[in-house]
Amino acid sequence: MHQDEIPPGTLYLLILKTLARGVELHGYEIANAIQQLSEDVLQVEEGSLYPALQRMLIRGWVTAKWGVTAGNRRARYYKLTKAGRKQLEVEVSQFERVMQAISRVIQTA
Amino acid sequence: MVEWLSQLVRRFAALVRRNKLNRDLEDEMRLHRELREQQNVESGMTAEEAYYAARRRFGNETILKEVSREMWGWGLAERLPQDVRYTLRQLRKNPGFAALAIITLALGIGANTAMFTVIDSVLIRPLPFRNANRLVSIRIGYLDSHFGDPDQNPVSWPAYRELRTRSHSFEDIIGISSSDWTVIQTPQGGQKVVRATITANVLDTLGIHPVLGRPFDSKDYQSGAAPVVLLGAELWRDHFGSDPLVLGRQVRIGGTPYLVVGVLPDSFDLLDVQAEADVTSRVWLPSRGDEDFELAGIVRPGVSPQAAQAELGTFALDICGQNLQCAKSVKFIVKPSRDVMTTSVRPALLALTGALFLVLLIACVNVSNLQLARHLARRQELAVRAAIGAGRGRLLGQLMAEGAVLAVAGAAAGLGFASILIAAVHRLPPNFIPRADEIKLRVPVFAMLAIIAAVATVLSSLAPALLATRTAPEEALREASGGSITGRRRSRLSQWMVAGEVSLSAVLLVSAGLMFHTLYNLQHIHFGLDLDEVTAFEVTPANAPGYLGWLAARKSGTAPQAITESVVTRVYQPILDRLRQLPGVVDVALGSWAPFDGTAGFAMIRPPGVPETQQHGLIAAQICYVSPGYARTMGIPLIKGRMISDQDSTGTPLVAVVNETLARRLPPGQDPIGEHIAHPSRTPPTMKNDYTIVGVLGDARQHIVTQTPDPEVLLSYQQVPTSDPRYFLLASGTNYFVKTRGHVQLTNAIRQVFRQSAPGYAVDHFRTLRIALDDATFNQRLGLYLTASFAGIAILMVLTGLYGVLSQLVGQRWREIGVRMALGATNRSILQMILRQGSILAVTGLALGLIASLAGGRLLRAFLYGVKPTDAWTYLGVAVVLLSLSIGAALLPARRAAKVDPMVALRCE
Repeated sequence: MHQDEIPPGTLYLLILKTLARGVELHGYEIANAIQQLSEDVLQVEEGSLYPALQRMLIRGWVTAKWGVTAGNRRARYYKLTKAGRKQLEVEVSQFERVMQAISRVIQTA
Repeated sequence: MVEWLSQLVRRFAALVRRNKLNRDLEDEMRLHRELREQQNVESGMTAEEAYYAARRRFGNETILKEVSREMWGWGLAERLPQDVRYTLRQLRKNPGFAALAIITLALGIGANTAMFTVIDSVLIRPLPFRNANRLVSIRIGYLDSHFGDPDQNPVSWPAYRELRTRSHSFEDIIGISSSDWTVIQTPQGGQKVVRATITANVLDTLGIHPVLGRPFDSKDYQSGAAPVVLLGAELWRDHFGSDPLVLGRQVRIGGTPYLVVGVLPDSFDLLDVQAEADVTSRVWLPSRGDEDFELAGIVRPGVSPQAAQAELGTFALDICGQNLQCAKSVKFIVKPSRDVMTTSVRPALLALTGALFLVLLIACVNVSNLQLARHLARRQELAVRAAIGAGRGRLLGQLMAEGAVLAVAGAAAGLGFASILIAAVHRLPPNFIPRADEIKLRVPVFAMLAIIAAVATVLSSLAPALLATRTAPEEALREASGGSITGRRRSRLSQWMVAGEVSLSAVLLVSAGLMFHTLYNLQHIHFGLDLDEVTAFEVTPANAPGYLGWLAARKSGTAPQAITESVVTRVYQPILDRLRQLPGVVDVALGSWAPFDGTAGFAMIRPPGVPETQQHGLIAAQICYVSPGYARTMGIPLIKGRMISDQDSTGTPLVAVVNETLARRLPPGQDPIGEHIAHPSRTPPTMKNDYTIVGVLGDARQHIVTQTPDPEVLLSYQQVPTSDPRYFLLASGTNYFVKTRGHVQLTNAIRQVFRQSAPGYAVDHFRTLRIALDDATFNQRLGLYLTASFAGIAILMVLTGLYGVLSQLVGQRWREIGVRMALGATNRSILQMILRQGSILAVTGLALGLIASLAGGRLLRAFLYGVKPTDAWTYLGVAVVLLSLSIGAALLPARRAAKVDPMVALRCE
């Protein structure tokens, strides 16, 4: 199945939203979640999650904790913070604004 | 704000734990891939397919790791220590290059730092007084003044009071009397000191607190009050042993007892603008209103010195006592005190700053050439790095790091060098540079040092680094070294620069050589005196009234006090006899002036044949009052007639002995012996001043400055009656000259004699005539040291420059050399080829420099003595020195060229 690349700059948005449900996920789970929630349309180059997660750690949008997976493997679990939630709102509204503008341009054509 | 702060904290924590961070990241990524791999297997792929699919889906791990790490933003902090370590390793492998570059930078940076320290301490920092930024000096000039410095006239007490009460521009006006000297009795005996009085508001206005005791209070300033004195800090330290018990004691100053009430700090000495070089101990007395003052004032906030000056101008009439004529010629000059104090050295300091800045620029350019040569040698390595994937920024950073390390090392060494220079500045004679005590390294200087080092880094490393890291580094380096038009231009520029450095060195070396010659000549002139075995010292009677008393005596035409017995018979003569008895003494004499002191007195002598009323035809001659043993002691030969003897005293005819130069000026054809000369002065007509010449002495040079000896007249010190105003000269002090058998240390014995026979007399300034001569030639010596230092720096620049340029040359012609050798050129001929290149540069520069020296020689003529500006030996010597040094500097790159393996060179491109 041909999967579309995610639009640039939206990686943070997707990660934030995925974690917004209040769960703690590790990197692999986040990648799968995005794929699932988008009904397989979006596929991230999975390695690129990690720089993004590091960035979010610095900015204080997520916190990380080492834990154990179901298969008894050591993994780092990420959780959204309050600042992260606020950032999510910001990103969402920004995204919607841009999308509306683009729609308008397409429709008038 | 808070978010930014917590971010910083997180980043910092990550830096500290970055190893753990890296490991964590790696574990995470590995887990992800393995889980994906697992999933792939579950969905049907083979193990191998699953593995590669997972890796593909994940992405380039190396880059991802690096990008993740960079998120933390500590790229620079990681890279910098790496780069520095690498640079240090490289420099250790090339110690010669490192040493040359660091020393060059150290000289430039250190010299500029020292210069800035001096400028900061002397010209920029405010004076150490309260309200120093509003402190101005107020001087009165008389436009038609004939006497002295027209801008330096003191103000009378009534005038001072007028100005103080009526002027609105000043918060207050303070007065310090003109300096005079006197003798104070210390525990070790008499000591000559500088004496000045201060008005009642001086200490408060300037915020000066005594380091001991109390300041003067209001009753000390009232006339008729008990005499009190404040000692200067140096006097208290050096002659009272910093004894706190000196407070409350009476000390005798000029014969009068004064109560010591306190000791003033060193900074107060700055206010004495007429500082004498020899006497730096001071006493301060409260002004009782009967002196003339030098004025200073604190202008009100917002009032400029010019405005204050204009306002004072309106009081000209009052100063002149309503005399319109006088008022028209009066001029007030108001200038900030700090500027007034430093005005003598400011042009020299600024000129020196400019010169040293030029040195720094040259140093940076030289180091830049050196670095370019090195980059050229490393071009393969740099090309490989670029190929592997080091970004341009990364390479640039690394090369700049190298430049920075050199600059930091240079700055550190430069700081040491600057400290040495500053210590040398402190060894200059006191009062040579105003505020010299305040020169020391301070925080602004360190800041300046950092800035200079940064500038040096950029100037010396940026261009080579940029060139070396162009996208095709190989291409760029080749271009830079002369393979293309622009490259050739740059290379040509460097070569001209080196030639220029050689020229500059030549000029400086020629100047230094000429000055050295001059100094040598000055110290070996035939002075007609015995320099080494004659010790001179100065004697000042305990109650000597000082310079002001001398002026008063001249004005009134009488001696300042009624004296029955001449100091000569009472004190000087008996001491002379006693000194003669000391072991090791061959002879003793005294004279009113000492050679090389620069203090000789001149007067107009009327030779025979010139009528009394005529004003021209007089001879300006040096007059000295001496004892009979003077010629013998000083080693001056007697040419004709006889020397002054013990028989010539009061009551016998007045005699004079002249030197050859004066004898030649007398009417020719007559024997000078027996001729009469007159010494007209402001003597009342009843005084005799007609002298008979009884002898002619050989010429003895008392000064350095004149090219030929001055006419001199020696008069007997026994023949000055106490009522003659010229007696005053003798009563103020005299010089003794002691001729010893070999070098004998007589200071203590001499002091002992004076303690017994003339207690209270100040006995100091012991020196052999040789030492006095050295002091008199200090300016020439300083000039020589400065020029020689600059010459030394210039030579170092030449060495560095030549080495750098020739290394570049060799680097750029690597392949050509390989080809030549393959075609049969010997090592020797390659060596010669490179040496020839170097010689061309050196000879060109030398020729230019010598021509410049010849052309500019005229400018130096005033400073030279006994040597022409075109002295052939000097020029020859400079040529030899520079050429040999240049060949030496060229040898290393030449040898490297000669060792080229043609196979390697040809394959290398």
